[in-house]
Amino acid sequence: MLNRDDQIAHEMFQEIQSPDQPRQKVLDSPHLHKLQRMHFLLFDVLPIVGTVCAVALLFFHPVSVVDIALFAVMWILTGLGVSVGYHRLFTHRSFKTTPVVRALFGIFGSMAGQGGVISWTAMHRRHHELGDQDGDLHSPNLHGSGLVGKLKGFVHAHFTWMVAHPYPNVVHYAPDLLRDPVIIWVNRHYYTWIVLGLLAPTLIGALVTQTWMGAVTGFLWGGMVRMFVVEQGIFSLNSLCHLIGRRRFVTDDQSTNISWLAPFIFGESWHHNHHAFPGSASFGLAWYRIDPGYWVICMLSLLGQAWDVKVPTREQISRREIRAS
Amino acid sequence: MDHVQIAEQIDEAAVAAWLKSYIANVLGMEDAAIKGSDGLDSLGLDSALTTALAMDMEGWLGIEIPLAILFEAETLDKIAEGVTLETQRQQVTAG
Ligand SMILES: [Zn+2]
Ligand SMILES: [Zn+2]
Repeated sequence: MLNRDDQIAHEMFQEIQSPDQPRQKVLDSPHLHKLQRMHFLLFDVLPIVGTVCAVALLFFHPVSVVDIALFAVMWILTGLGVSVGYHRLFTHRSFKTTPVVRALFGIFGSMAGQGGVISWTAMHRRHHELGDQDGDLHSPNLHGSGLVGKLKGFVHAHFTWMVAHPYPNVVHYAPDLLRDPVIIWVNRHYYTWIVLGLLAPTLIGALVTQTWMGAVTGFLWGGMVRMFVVEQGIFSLNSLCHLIGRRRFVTDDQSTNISWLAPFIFGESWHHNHHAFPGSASFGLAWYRIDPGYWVICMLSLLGQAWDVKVPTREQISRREIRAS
Repeated sequence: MDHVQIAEQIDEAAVAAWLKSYIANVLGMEDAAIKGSDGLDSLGLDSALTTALAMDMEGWLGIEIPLAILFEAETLDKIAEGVTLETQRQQVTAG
């Protein structure tokens, strides 16, 4: 079942390409690199600064219940936006859902500040196409051997690759999304969603506490700190989950599973399982592995809001497993 | 080689026709619905799609297209003009 879907996805990528034309799949350009640098400073570096400020402020002003609640709600919404929306739904099409749910996941995913949904999807599909080989935008394994090479690779894959990188051809990698009016609309208003995601906790913090300080700490905890935490989680997939951890299947890449990370990134750190079964809605591949992203899809399915949820059978899984003998 | 020959027959009309059919295909519109006076912005092509268009146009023409031509021109006709000039310029340099 999964294999056929992978085939369809593959054909989808080729759809618009005529066979006699070589197609460029990525482009490096100074114009694009400038945009990437701006995005990096605003949404990758600034949240670190904001988090340092939030922690420093603790010495003068204890964190309030309101701040913790704003952080938790925004963390869960935007984290699921990336894990369930951007990743499992839009990139890998592991289940189907209604236009309203698609819009909500797209909007919450955008608020995480990791790029518009179409760019994110295109880059991530390229990552699966070339995992840990030349052309993978964020492999930690292409920077030489030994401890120094691994360290360099870690820094690149975790953070610095985003400063300036080749940009993927979205018509090649994400033609399906370009045909979805909901996605086009969400994607066009990417920056609006980010601003909304920062404004909402600021306003709620101010209104609930009726103080200016409430606005500041609401912005810091519900905006900056949650953006920082969601990002560090997703960055860890690119770095740690291709460096340390366990493997159980034969795959072309060097992906790994890191169980202790799973509760903090909605089950995403079963990343090796995911590389082995990219079309599966479940990353844990078993009920006893913590996979909150999949649990949300199951809940949606119970409520009639998700269908065609793809999960490989036990037999399909065991067939791929590495045997000791 | 091959693509140089193709490029020799390239004029503004051919580039404009390619632009219209490419955009129509990507956005699921009719070719006829797209006019030379339309801009990429007003048609709904953001920087991601414009970059994709540049890559596929480079594949078609076999030349390197400065993104500035696409981002700065106000209409499809202006883009066709700029790209045609660029094609001729790069042919002279190559020849
Ligand atoms: Zn990976
Ligand atoms: Zn993936």
